[in-house]
Amino acid sequence: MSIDQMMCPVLESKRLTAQSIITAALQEIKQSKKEKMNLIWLEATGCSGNIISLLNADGPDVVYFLTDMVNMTYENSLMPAEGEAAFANFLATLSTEFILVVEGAVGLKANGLYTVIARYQNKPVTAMEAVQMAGEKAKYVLAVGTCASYGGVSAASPNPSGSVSVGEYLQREVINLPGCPVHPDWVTGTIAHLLAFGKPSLDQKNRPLIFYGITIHDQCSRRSYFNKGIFAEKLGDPECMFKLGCRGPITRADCPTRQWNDYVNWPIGDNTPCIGCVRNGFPDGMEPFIRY
Amino acid sequence: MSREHFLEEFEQIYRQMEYYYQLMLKTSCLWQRNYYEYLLLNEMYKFIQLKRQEFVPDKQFTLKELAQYDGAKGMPAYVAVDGIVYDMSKEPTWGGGTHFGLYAGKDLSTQFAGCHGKQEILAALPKVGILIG
Repeated sequence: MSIDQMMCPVLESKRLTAQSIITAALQEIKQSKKEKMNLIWLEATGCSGNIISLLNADGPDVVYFLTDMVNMTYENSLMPAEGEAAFANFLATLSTEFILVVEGAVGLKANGLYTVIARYQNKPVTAMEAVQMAGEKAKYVLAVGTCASYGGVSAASPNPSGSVSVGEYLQREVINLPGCPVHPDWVTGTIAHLLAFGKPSLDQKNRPLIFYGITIHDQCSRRSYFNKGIFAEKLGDPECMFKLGCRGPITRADCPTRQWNDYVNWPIGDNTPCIGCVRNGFPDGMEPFIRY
Repeated sequence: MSREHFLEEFEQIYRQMEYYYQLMLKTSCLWQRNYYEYLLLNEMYKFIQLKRQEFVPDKQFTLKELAQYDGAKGMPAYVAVDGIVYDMSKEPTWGGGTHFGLYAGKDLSTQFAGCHGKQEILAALPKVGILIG
């Protein structure tokens, strides 16, 4: 017998252990093939920029997201159903297990009448009501975009609609995914984590650390200019734009590495300073966006 | 206390210490040696006292003068809190000389107290002078 054939079975089994676990896991997934989780996407008091951003998703794209990851039962812009039939879908999902995604803030003034999302049985359904109805029952609530996470542009002074963040309104744990708009990867990535591994680790503002852990400043391509104190004097200069009002040092996001629009570029790479759109305090507290 | 004054005093103390030390080495009388050692230690305490003093540069700013240093057009960004003027030009949270809606070149003591109120933040900031009137 050769040395290979005399191999100890214990050692041999160690070599195959990882492989056997993976095979078993894959089998498990295929056999106990659960139904995809339902997902409701509510466009509340906002600009609907985040669903547009989701449509820009590239890795994975929105088709993969909708066919393989979740079962989106209600979304104002994408669903084929209209009118009362559409809202009936929303109501039907409430009694199932679902993820609630809210984009846009929650307008409280005039009993929420600043944003009416549906008309059901001859009565207007405000975004405020819908968020409340779904928020109570959802397994996970994701506040997508800066308006939903912090109030954002909808809550900017003088805040005529009385907008507040989803977290403040629902008074339950909400995962914040700020951004104006949010990067599609941050949404699909967080949902993927929820589906496969449960809740991701969140920071003190309930943002997933995997996307919002590090400031833009700490990953900026112009950081060495900042360190040496070489600053741009006007837009178009290649040096650090700190003196022009860049908010990179106080904003947590992975824009420098992930980049936008199919990962081609990001503000600083396009010669414009960061305006801190991922932050609470955007936009009022981040002004002026440019300082000459 | 200005930086020059501080350095002058420091140098003076150091020269005295050197002097006493040399004397200490050269004397053969033990009482004299003891006496010089005592003088040397005195100088050391003087130095510790000097270091403990709030090291704030002498430059004085009126509110009107301070207003020029608002971070715009290449000017440094100075902010006054509780009578002392700080330089925020390189402070990461003060991009473009602004901080959450506040502009440099002003006395922001109330706003600071209302939001931070923590002396540790002030201790770490570079000082450029004091605010008078």
